[in-house]
Amino acid sequence: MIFPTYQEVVVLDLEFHTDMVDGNKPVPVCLCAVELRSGRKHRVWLDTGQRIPNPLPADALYVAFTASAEWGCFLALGWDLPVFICDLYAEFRCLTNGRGQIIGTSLIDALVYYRSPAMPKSYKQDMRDRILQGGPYNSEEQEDILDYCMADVDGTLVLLHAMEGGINLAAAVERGRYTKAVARMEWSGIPIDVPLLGALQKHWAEFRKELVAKVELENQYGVYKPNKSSFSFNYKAFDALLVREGLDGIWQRTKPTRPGLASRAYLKDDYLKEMSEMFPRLVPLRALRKTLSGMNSLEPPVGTDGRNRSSIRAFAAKTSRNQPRTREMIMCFPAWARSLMRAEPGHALLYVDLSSAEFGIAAALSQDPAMMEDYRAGDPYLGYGKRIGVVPQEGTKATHGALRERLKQVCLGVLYGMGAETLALKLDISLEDAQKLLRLHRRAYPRYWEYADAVVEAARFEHQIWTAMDWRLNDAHCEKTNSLRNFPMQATCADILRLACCLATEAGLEVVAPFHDALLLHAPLQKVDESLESMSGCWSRASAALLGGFELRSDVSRKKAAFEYPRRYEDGRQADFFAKALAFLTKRGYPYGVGA
Amino acid sequence: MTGTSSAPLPGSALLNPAALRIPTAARHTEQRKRYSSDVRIAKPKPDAWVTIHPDQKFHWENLWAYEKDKSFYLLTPAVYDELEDSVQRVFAECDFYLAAVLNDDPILWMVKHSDTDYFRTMRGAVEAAMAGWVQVQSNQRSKRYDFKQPQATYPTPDWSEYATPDDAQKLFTTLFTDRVIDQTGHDVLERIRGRK
Repeated sequence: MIFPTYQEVVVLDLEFHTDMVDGNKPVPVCLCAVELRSGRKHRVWLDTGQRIPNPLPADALYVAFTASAEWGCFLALGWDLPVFICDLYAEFRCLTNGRGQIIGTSLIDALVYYRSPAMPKSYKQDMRDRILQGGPYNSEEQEDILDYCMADVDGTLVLLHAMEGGINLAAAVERGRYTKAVARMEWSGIPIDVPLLGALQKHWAEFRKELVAKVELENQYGVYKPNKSSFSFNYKAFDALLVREGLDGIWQRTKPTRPGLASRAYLKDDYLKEMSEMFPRLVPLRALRKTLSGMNSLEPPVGTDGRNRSSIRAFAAKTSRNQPRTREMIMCFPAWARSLMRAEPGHALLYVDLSSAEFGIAAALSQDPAMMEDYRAGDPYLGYGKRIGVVPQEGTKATHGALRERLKQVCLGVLYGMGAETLALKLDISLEDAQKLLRLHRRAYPRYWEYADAVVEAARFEHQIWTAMDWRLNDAHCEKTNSLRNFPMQATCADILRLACCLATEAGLEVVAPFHDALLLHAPLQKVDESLESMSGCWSRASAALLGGFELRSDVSRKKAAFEYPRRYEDGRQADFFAKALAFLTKRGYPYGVGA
Repeated sequence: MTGTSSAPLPGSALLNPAALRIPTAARHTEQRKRYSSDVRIAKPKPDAWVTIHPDQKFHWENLWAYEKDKSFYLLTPAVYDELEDSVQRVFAECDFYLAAVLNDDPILWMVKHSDTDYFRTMRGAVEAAMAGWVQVQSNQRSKRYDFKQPQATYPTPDWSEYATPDDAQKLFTTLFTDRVIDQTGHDVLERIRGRK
């Protein structure tokens, strides 16, 4: 018997459309389900315009594939969300995470992986297309859609039988709990300044051209060359820039795709980000490149209610972090464009992030007493400086800000397995000095280093590592050493974020988006302080639960965390790009002058 | 139906499949392939966990060896004694140990003797590797090798493929066939002398 601890197990699937507008809330079309113990089947047409009661047992274990989509429909129907959930998508990701072969993550892919029969992809696509066109559906179409929906239930059931032996049910139900939080966040959506977005969309191509011209003029990079219709990035000119900046010897290059072809400078955004942190002159170039290459058009899915909604794509990353699509979720846009987010009148956006999360998690997981003490003391980077004797005991961020930044680079770099060469480059110091800094770190936090070595060792010998919430990295022995060292911190941070999301949404807070180690909330102005305090409590409880009682702090000062209407969200970076956008629109007659 | 028959011509031994089949002993069986391709002579990589075969049959110590472009040559002691000093100097006394490498093919771990801390500390690592897994790293600051053992206990490798004296001989033969210098006029020695 499948999952005998549950009296009732329900396998279900729902179909929905979004009224032909990407970013709208789901409109449920139908529900199909099977109760495993009784064998009872449900085929319920929901697109009737009438209130329909939930026919399913409340205390059952609900099994679905990508369950958050089902709960979005439950919310639309005004139904209570289930208590116990097992999302086979999350479990499939967990069971196959890190496996070498390329594995898709759809229901069909999962069935194929387990060598089980699956419906043809073309049939699925046709049915989805019809459903997404919206109603009215004639009676024949209704039958077809119900058959299709029931076929997905059957497929999910086949998959459940195939996967059951590998599922750790306690961890699965906890992951299932997060699908409810995801559904609530996706249901809320991120409030957007729709008129501003519309104005930018209308002039997007023109603005991009002007932005290139301005950034080039201000910084004299000479890498963007105008062409007939627009401009293009010139790799030769970028090579020349690297020579001018003295970076040609250290900049990574791609391998030529064919013999005889020249290699190109490596320009992936994460590398450009890393290099621009070391060489701040490249910061505007990175922001420009991200704006241009990632956003040919400015079309985040925004519903008719002015909310940006796209899939959070929970568990998509190897570390189990959410991985929303960068062109869809506005929190993933270039930093300046995030200022398109604005609370609704009478509300505030609250950005509540964990303080020095990775340092704190590393301290707690390794149980390094010195590291834990430095985290608890308030500013771990200054704490490290004091510990190794480069910052006086009375030193503060105000008195030793620059040095603190460098110490932060060391502390965070170590967590990523950074070597002396990179550290030397990053801090612009000699290799010997960088080696000394790393030795001092080893001496300051020996238990952490022992722990980090043990993680890599276990991965190599046991081929698998996992977090407290049983998120697994399979075939871990094939991963790079630095990725392994960092995995526990990243994956545990993801565990903590999920739990904090659950606690916050279950407490009634309107969480609108998760982001690495932060959550974005939308709250009425009169409840800002209360919401901040409540969110901070969720972070504390979540971290304590997963780190053996060690609580992580969150930054909840209203001045820093709250963006009260009419103030837009500010990332703190690339503010000049946003100012350029407003100035550009003001010139064209839009009311975005100073202070708008 | 003329001239298209595929039937063998009567009496043609060339078209007899049984006569063409390679004798079993000469075929490239899996085992032969393993010996010829999997084990290479090397020093453990710094991030690799290694452990040495516990059986001394798989240890070959105090041999004269010479390495050129990742090819290894052994020299008989009798020939060594006859060589001029300048040629003797390029040979080093070496030890070879069959070692399992975690998640990788085994290696024949070569340890070159010298009067340095590098050699002395490498010996320490070899001794430890005979008892369990070790990771060996060069410490250029101290001009020595550091080695570490795992924090937990992990099972020893399965040595069933390298168990008998015959396995040891086969391995040695595969690695050093045509690589033993047994006369003073050997091509390799002539190349060292710059004559070829």
